[in-house]
Amino acid sequence: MKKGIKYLLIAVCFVLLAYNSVYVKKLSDMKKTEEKAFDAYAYAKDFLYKKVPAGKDKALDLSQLLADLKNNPRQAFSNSHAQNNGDIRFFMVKGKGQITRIDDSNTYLSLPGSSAQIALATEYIIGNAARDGSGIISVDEFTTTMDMNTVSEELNKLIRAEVLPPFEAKAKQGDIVDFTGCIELNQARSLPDTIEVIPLILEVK
Amino acid sequence: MKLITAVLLVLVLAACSSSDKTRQPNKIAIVVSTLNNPWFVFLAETAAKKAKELGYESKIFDSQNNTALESDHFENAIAAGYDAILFNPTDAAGSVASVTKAKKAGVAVFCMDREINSKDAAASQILSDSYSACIELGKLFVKSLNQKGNYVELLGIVSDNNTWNRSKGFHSVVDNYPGLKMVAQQSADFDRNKAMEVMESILQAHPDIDGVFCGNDAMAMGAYQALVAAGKADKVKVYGFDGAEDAINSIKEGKLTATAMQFPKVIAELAATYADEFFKGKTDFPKKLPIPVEVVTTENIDKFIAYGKKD
Repeated sequence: MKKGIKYLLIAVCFVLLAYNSVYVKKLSDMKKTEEKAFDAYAYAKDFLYKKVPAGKDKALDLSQLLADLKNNPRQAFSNSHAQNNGDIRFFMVKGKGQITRIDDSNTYLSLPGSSAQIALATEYIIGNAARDGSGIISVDEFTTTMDMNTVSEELNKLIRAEVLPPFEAKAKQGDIVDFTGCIELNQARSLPDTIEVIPLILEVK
Repeated sequence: MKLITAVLLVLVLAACSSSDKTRQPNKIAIVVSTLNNPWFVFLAETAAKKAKELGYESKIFDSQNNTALESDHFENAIAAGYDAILFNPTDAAGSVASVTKAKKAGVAVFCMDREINSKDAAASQILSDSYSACIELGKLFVKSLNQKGNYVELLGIVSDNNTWNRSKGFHSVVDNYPGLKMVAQQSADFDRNKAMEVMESILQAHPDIDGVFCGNDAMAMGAYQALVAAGKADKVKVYGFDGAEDAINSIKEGKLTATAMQFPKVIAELAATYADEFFKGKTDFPKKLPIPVEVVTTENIDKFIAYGKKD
């Protein structure tokens, strides 16, 4: 009788251990969980269409910024943003300019009160300016830096696919353009003659 | 009498235990992915040197790119009473469990250079901003090849986030130029010898290439050796990443076209300093801290030395 109880207890222990040691999940469920981890496209879309318009007023006036960069660069760069503390810095800027020329890569603008040539990028939307110019996005939000970097790629793709086509279809030489965008400057180098703007919001008047 | 003896014994034991605590300084373990690459040797030794300067005993553990061995190092470090771990992981996902175990044991982990896929497990992660640097390398690559030609990419360890941050940063620029065609993309595990073998085999299939982009300098040096053996070194532009000694010398000699200087001294010293601050009671560290990386070419090589900038 005692032996019977002993074997029964051993069997119960074995079944309990075996049951708690093995977990069966569908492979498709596991894949779904992984895919759900981070949606860079949705994040970028929310940023471009909600956060940027909501924070548009904080963009710096480009003519004023260019004047500040000439007169007091240190002070001007204190308003810049980047994910690291290197020489490459980003600003979110706004302005109203007249189209002077259009080529395959850029739409060029003249700004009142500034001698600088402004190039609205229309072909090569690359780099982290769109992501980092506003200073809204922080690396601490993301589980991995890869997630954050994918946001940069998705943002650039959205600008190419959704911001630029309606603008390019309408814009012609002499038009006035209202723009909000981001610029990248290297604080160890002198100010370039042409300032490239990665556009975020464009309106042809 | 028995009671007095017992009380005295307890007091003596308590005194011993308390004096042990005050006598033992904090210890720092330095766990690195591999010591088979001079860059990681420099990282580990710099961390150990800084720990010593700050008054701590430290020991370097070599994981030999093996996550199981790395896990053993963590077990041993926790059991041996190390109070902080300066950590260069082998695997972004696979290393999280070890870091979590250390955290549960009250041991703070500070990641150096390589990332783990967790926001909370490590006290802080000090990481080179590889993606941004490879955007700059990508721009230079496009310019140096005049926007056209065939190229090869050698990837690092595929389970490491740096591998993909570098590759994706590079492609975020280069893929915009249809004249540039990637004829082969293969992993060489950040290893010089493997890169040479991989490159030799790629050259058999694709003898007409104009550029090679490598995820680190060791692979760039291996690829360059294969190009020399094939008699193509003068024609092909080779790009690396790290700022290792042989790469810096090769750029000076016009062999490699460019690399990206990471600053392992900054990373290692900051990790050791954070450990010191942790021992003094600080708990609020930046979760992820990207460190800037600078492009090095023949034009600015005079500003750089191996693993950093000239003072």
